[in-house]
Amino acid sequence: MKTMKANKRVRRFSLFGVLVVLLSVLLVILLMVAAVKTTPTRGGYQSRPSSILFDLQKGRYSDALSSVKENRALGFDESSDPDYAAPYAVCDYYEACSYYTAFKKTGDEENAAYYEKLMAQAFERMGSLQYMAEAIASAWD
Amino acid sequence: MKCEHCGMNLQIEDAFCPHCGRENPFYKQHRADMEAYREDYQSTKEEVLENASRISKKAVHITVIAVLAALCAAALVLCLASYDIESARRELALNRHRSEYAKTIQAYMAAEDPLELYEYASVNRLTYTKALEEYSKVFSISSHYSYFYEYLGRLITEDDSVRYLTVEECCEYLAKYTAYILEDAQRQSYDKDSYYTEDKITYMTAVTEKMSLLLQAYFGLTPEEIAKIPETSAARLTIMLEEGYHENHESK
Repeated sequence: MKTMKANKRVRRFSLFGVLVVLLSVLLVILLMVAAVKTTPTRGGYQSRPSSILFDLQKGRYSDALSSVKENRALGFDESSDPDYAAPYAVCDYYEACSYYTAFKKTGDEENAAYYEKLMAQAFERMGSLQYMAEAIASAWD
Repeated sequence: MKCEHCGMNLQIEDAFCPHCGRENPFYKQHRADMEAYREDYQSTKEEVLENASRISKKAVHITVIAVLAALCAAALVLCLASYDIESARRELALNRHRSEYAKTIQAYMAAEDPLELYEYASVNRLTYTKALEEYSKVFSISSHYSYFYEYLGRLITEDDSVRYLTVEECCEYLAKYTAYILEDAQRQSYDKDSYYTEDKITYMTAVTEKMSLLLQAYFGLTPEEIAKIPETSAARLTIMLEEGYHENHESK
């Protein structure tokens, strides 16, 4: 009789305990989700110089350019890390080259000259990555 | 009561008659009854106390569960309303720094740089906000131009081994974004006046001209063909771009 009473008491206690634990876990999860969802965030991710360089070496210029634009919008410019300088310059060269080639092809020499100047400025900043300039120019041409 | 032996007055509490000294027969019964009552009272009291304690323990359990359940329900409501809460907070923050954002947007517009403008708006989550609603068309055309430029770059400068899209798929995307850019630049009757102020029209015209330039240079489209794009179907434009690409590619 005593054992039965004891068992009953243990079972009732454990049911309450299980409910309390379950509800507490649920509460913590919901609060964490709410905290994450209501925290103001920025819509972008920083790309490392090595990642941009890898895209450039693989010839994925569009991906590299997107990463550079996103980095700059996030505030990670050349001054935040000197390793960014050369890959950023390659992307600037790539962008200027697209318009230079386009103006050249359509016979607009004046605008082509403007973009040629931008290409030359970017080329100066490319440093050890200057060898990529030729591949980029021939890709757009 | 009276003593049944001497007839004198007698209390029920008296064990013996104070007058004749004989035993009071009712006293024993009275004591037994009183003892029974006391025991009964004691057991009833204990039972009441035990029940009260059990009930109060149960009440505590129910209260704890109810409070936790209520907190969970409140947290769930918070989760479901999180988008609205975050949007409201964002709008407040945007309103506080609106002039700074507007100044930067204006600078990108003056520089005619849709790629930078799109990334700036995207990273700072400025699109679809009430605070900067007047720039919605500027954001839209910049976003479409960014995608247009991205697919153009993939098609023209990336090798087949690197590009994850076929030429046809790239041309489909280019046709789609070309149409979107032209739509953005074209004011609709339901568009607000603030969407198309002079500076915004100048910027949108510049973006459209950039797109036209790239279409002419890399696909050989003529200005007349570009002017007719709004009346051209997406399928037809895709074919025109594909043909232009192949011609350009073969002549390399």
